[in-house]
Amino acid sequence: MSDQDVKAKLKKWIIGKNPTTDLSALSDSTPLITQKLITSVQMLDFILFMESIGANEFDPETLTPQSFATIDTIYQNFFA
Amino acid sequence: MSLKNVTQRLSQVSAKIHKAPVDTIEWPESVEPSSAWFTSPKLMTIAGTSFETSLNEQTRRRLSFFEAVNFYSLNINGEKPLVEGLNKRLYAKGQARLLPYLHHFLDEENKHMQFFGRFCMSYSGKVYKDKKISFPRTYVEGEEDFLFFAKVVIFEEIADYFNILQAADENLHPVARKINLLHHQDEARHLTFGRQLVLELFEEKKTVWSTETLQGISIYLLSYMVATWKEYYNPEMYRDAGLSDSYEMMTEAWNCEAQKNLRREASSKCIRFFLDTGIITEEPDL
Ligand SMILES: [Fe+2]
Ligand SMILES: [Fe+2]
Repeated sequence: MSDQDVKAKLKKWIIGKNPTTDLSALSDSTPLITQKLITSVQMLDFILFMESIGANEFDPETLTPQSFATIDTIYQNFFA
Repeated sequence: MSLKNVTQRLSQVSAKIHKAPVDTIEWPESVEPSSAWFTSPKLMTIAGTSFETSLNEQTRRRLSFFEAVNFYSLNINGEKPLVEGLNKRLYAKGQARLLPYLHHFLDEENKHMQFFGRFCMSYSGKVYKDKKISFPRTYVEGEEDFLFFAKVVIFEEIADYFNILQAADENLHPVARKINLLHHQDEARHLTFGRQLVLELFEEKKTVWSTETLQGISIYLLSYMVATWKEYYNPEMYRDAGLSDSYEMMTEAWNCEAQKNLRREASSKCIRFFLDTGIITEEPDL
């Protein structure tokens, strides 16, 4: 999967989880955590989804909210 | 003497002095996953789904073993922060009324991890990782304590539903049955304590906390209930049972109507408690 494919899938997931928010301007650098587009209780779901689209192995204990700051950071941390 | 030898020897001495529940179980040298039911078929995540009919019995039994490993793992992953939180409250300011029960609570949770952990490590070589992440946040006065114990009640109520039914299931592998029984015996007391404490903490604070705080608590606990259930549907157990498309399987199982009913039924006592007390203001979207 190309980086563009991965990023598109991540965006689709986030849009799906925020049906009432207008995300037409969602970009690779939109702050996801501070804008509450991904919340703490959705993290488990999100991590399982990332694994299903080929995320690299990672240690959950090392993760912080900053690991998920934007689509770009997520790509760098889990897929690059 | 190596460290491994020392810890083994010391564990034997400690076990002799303090009789632990883990030693009341007859542990077989090894178990064959597909040889028995380790999770009651009606409590499995595939109950009522298309997989229940498409997978043969041997595969379903094999999956029942990994569902048990997942159930024990999620208990360990819940008990670890529980022990941390209880420990933090021992002899802490304002917590004197929780003594001496806090010591027993702490002691018993450690013992649970011993038998859950022994099963997972001896027969599957691992405990499934905790993939929950909590974001740092701020609390108003008394809110952190309240949420800590409220979450414990939710977590324990759901697990106890499984424990009670599985402790009584004669078709379950004897070790799995005993583990569920031992856990239920302690959890019944933890839940009595937890419910009473949550009730009192809420009564004390509900007139002090703002409407926004109370709404925030309701929303948070409702989503915690959903998040707690998600852990029961760990795609890794499908993968370990040799099934492909584990993520799709998780999604289908989660969305299946029969599973929704199971979750509602298993949580009904818990939901009723939180609704009756006014802590939550609607039903969770299970
Ligand atoms: Fe426990
Ligand atoms: Fe407990």
